[in-house]
Amino acid sequence: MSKFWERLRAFHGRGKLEGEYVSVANLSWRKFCRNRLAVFSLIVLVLIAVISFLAPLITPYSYSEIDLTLARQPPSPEHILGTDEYGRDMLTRLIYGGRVSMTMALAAMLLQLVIGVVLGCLAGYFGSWVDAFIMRLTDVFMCFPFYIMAVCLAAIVEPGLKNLVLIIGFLSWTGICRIVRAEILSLKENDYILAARSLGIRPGAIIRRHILPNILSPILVAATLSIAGGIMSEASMSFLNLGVRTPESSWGNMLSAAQSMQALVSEWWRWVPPGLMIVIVVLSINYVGEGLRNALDPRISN
Amino acid sequence: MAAEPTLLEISHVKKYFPRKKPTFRQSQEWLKAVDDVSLTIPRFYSVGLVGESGCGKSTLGRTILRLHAPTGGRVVFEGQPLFDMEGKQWLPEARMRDLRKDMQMIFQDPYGSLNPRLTVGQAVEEGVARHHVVPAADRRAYCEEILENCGLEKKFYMAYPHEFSGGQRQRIVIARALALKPKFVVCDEPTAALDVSIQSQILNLMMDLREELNLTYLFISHNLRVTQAFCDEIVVMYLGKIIEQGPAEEVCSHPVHPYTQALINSLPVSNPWETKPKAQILGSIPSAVHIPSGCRFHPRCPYATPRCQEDEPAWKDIGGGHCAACHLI
Repeated sequence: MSKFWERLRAFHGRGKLEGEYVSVANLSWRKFCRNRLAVFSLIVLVLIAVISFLAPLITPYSYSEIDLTLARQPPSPEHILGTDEYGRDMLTRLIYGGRVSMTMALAAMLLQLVIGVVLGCLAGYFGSWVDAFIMRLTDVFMCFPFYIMAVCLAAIVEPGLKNLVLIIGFLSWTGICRIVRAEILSLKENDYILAARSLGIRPGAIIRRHILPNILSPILVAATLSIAGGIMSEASMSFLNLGVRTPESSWGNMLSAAQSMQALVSEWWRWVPPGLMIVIVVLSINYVGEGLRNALDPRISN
Repeated sequence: MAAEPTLLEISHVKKYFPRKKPTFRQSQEWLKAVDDVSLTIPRFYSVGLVGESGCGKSTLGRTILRLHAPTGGRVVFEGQPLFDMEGKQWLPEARMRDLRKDMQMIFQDPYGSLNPRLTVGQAVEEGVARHHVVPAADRRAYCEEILENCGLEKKFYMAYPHEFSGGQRQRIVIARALALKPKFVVCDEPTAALDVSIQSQILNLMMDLREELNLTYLFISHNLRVTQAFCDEIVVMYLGKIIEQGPAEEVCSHPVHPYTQALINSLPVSNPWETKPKAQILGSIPSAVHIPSGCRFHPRCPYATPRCQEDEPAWKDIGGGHCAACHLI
């Protein structure tokens, strides 16, 4: 019994037990669990994701059915968050919108991350003409004003969720790429990279095992920021009717639908909930990212 | 011992680093860190490479392992040319990586040469796994044994580098290199960052391991006394060139080059009442960008003659494998 308590205490506060054998991943997970804010944020995110995923089971209303007799109703027992200008239930649209916004932001972030990290690693590690080529490419991409490019692309390809993800991903990987490259340039001078080379480790493995873990924190920070950016870009694109199109809902287009003076002044239920959701999700992702960063860094102990 | 076959043959190795080109000037300046060095290392030998800071010792060590891209020369390891810049031969990168199992390096800075994100076990296992030194099932036991031989207990296996002291880290660095069962090890001032009591422990450890694993060492150091105790042969470098070479005892007891003499005279003695001539070198090592003409030691040499300013001294054998490059011999 005492052994059990000892283990529990180790799990919740004291790190590993003397002589206990724990894997690195397990140890990081314990460290993450000790960061209350991060765990709380993770729970919030999972909760939002689960609710969005189970949307049809949770709300009795349809997110698209128009009933103008119910338009602009304030919150009531039937419509907890009121209704929008077409009489659709706000809570239903909020939940369905969460699906769209979160999937979109995550997917766009992943796409940016993959392109940015791969190109950044190639440029930073191999240098010379590879570096020059990739950096000129990022310069080209950074030169284009984002919205003009995005609007043009969205006009050429069909606007929609999938294409929006691709457009945002392909246009905004440059920041991550430059961060990764810059970090690798300074990291590469470390003796342990030279040591790995002298052990005969292949370049791919050096990047994977020796470089990426050491530049995890800037990458995570950039990734969490890009989720926030993704939600915002989605909102603006939807506002221009080039993103998620009505009647499909997203937090972005709900916000943009409430941009009239009347809505802002007297119909708070139309813009506060989606705005609040964006803030909550972005904050939670930031805290989870920070918790992850601390948990994965062996030099930080808490 | 002299009958042992050659393990490593270094001929005319050069390593120049480009200097930043000044605007409006056409000629590229070079920092000649290693300038035409030839050296043969027999199997099971320990060769000590000494010289003051900045004379190109570490660069030479790294260049022969191809951790720096060489500018010129040729290195042959066990009959296999690693590079031959004049003959345009270059061992493909993939083959070179496989060959690194046999040629390892112990790094100077135990703080910088361990990845902070890898546990001790991971760091040592990495190379062992890469080169399949032992079957995967025995890997962990094997690495634990190596670490134990290097004086680190099993319980440290899962610890991270920042939890260790400098001496312990140096042991990890040594274990990591020796776990591959190499034939040739370049030791780049392995004790420079450690205090004296730890130094002797590490040196004894390296000597034991040498017997046990039949290693050949290229021992880079600026500490002549350590090198004398540790090595069979001593090579003295000055400003990118070898100036004296010979059996360790011989070089230390009868140095012929004025630079080597000064190095030996500057060693502290254990008896405070013993008097000995002061070291007679003036100034500090000149820049490797603007190398003095003739004998490159002449601006600091107390015996310099006009001839030293013009002719570069030839390599002279003074018997018993003891050679030096000086006009005054």
